[in-house]
Amino acid sequence: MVPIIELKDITKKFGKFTALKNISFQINSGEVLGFIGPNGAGKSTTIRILLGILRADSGTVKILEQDAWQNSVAVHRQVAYVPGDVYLWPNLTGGEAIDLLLKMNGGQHTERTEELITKFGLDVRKKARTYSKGNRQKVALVAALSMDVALYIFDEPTSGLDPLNEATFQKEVLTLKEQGKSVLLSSHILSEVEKICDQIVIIRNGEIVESGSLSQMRHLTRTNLRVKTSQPITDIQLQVKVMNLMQQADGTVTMTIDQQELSAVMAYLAQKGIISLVSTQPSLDELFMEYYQDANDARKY
Amino acid sequence: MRKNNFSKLGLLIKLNLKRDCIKITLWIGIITILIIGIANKFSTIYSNQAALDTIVTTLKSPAMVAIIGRFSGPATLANVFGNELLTFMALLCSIFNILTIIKNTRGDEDANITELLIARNVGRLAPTMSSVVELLITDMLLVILVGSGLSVINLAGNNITGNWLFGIGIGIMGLVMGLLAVIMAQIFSNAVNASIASFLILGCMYVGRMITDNFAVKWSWLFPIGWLGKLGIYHENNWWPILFLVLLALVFLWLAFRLIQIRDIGSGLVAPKESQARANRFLQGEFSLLGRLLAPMIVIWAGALLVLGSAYGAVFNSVGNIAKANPTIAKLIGTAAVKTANLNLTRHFLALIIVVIAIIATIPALQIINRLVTDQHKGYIELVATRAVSRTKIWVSYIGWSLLSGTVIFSMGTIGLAVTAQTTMRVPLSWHDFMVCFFGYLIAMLLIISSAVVLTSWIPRWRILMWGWLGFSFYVVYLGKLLNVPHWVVKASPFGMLGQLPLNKIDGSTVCMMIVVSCVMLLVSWWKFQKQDLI
Repeated sequence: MVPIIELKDITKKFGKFTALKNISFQINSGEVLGFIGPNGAGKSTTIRILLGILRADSGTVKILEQDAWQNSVAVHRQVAYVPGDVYLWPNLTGGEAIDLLLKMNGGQHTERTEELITKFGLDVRKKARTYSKGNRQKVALVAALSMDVALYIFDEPTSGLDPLNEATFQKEVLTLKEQGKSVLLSSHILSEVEKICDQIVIIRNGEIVESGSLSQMRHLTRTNLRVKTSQPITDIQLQVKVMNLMQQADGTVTMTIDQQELSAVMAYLAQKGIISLVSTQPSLDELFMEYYQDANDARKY
Repeated sequence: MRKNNFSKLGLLIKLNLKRDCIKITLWIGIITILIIGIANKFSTIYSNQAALDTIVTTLKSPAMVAIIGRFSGPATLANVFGNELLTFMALLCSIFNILTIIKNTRGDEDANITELLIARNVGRLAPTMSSVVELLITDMLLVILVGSGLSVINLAGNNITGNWLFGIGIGIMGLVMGLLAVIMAQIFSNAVNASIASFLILGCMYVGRMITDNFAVKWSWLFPIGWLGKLGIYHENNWWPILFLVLLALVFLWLAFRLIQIRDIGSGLVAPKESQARANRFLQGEFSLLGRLLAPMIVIWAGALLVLGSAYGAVFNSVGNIAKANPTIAKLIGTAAVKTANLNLTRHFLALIIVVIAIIATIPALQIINRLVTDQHKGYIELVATRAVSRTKIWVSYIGWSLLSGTVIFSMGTIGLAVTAQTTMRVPLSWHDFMVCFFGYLIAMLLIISSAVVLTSWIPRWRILMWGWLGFSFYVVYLGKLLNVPHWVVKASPFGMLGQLPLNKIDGSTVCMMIVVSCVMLLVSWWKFQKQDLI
């Protein structure tokens, strides 16, 4: 498989502050990678290094097997990018900005562009200074999606969009995926990442804390149990390690357990006579919270 | 309920004054220094009655009537001063008032600050009223400084009433235009359009006055800026135009408040019109994009310098006329010698004026260099740099537009100056003199622009220093002679390095050195731009 993006040991410092520490990951052709992390974790910095806007202090960045810094112009011909904060030239109309962005990549306004403008419901005759954040994002999205390139990079693209446009965006990304394009999607909206991404990279404080497919990550982590037993299980916390233990109104008990504790918990529950047992996998939200709990704790100090 | 409209007014006034403190000081300082400084020099410029009579003849010529208004009153020093400066200073004060109030009313609304305030316990009219009060305070301060300053200078033929009338005329004109701008800020939905509309009205008033003053004086009543001409400062000292201006100010204020109450915060009374849905073929990439963004600014500057150059050019005739100013000297030295002396005098005047035009033309060029940094902060450059556009292209676009606009704007000023001077003078200067000045100072401009580029790329935090060097240049080359600034200090300015043009011969080796140094500075900056992070 051809790696579309290949990051190896990227480190970036701003003065004394280390923004990124040994970041490595790769995206293969046809993969959609979800890049998640809290504010200030280094998502945008990583993306800017990928695009040759910032220069990495060490490590290598390759896009389509070319150095992203040295050959940035050639690389950009094969990349469509939507920045997290889209700033448009205030006295250009949205339509003019779209055309200009396309021309700058050697492309042009096509039927596909018109189709996307209609899909996102963008009024292209208005000057960019009158646009809201969502409309500015739509301009960048239309310009990016109407390009036929190998790699699409979206930095929190839906943060200003309404649910309808969000759905339109997700549909478009799924279409790209079907066409075998590669996508890097940095996002806060986890349900979105869960819906469209194959691979996930979680970044915190400039370091990658977890990466892999969603299923792999679930396997590594926790399970939610909802159980009803014939005998009371009041002493469960003394016997095995469980979290978030809650007695529910319908007589069931819910709890969260670490994956490696599963057999011990099951053995204990079996003694108490299981009447019903439902096990659910944690959602990405729960994974996210788990990983960031520490980051938020750290913020308090 | 009425009281609630102005809730928290005092607090907002304090905030405004604190925020604009430096800006207000600078503007008031510059206007006062210009007025008082010129007044102070006036007795040396026009040292005898003959000189005054000559300038009065010039001021009565149609061109000068068009520029400053109809001359009235006796040929005294004070009266010539009043006639020459009133309109221009009132214009300057109006520009200051318009810029400040648009930024503080519509500008704050664009930035969503007003919405934040109105949502709290702040009256609907309070943000606008606080900006109006701020203008009132600054204009009053200006009136006091100018009025008392002129009284201290005590020009021959002045009187206390005239001095204060001059100051009040400038201040109230500024305030009226400021209030008109508040109305525009209600009508248009963004600061840029509101400013354009205000300046357009100011420009139309000025042109209207220009035409009526020359062809139909009675009708100059139609334009408030023409009312200033009816003041008759130092001879008639009429107060009723001031009364009319005060009434007009009150009407504008009332109208502005009515408009605020019938519109929504964040929108204007005029919906922004729809524009092109597609980019035309002139919008191709970074260079044409910058051209499109900068065009209005370049056109305005070029037009302004054309007018300024022509205004200066129109007085060349009276400057180089020793025979009229002093007939005895003419008899003593003979006609040929008078001709030479006249030419010499005119060339000295040219040397002084053209360098000022060059320095003013450098301002927009440096602003474009400054945008290389501010556009990075605003995220515009990121959008371009992530396309298939090389950094060299981005860099060359900014530097190229800076050099190009500096050259175009300077050449417009030079053309305005040369054409009016040459056509009005009985004995014209050699066109070569103008060419020498133009190319000489173009190289000076190149040097200061490239040093600004070095600053922005290597120590962007200190890029404000480029304005320091330009200000210093203005100070030493324009006022240097009067203030006896040492020769080496004058040489420290790029505009002083080649000596006074066209009086001095251009030194080839200095020119080469300046060009080489500029190229080296540009090269190292280009190299740095390739390597740096775009933040």
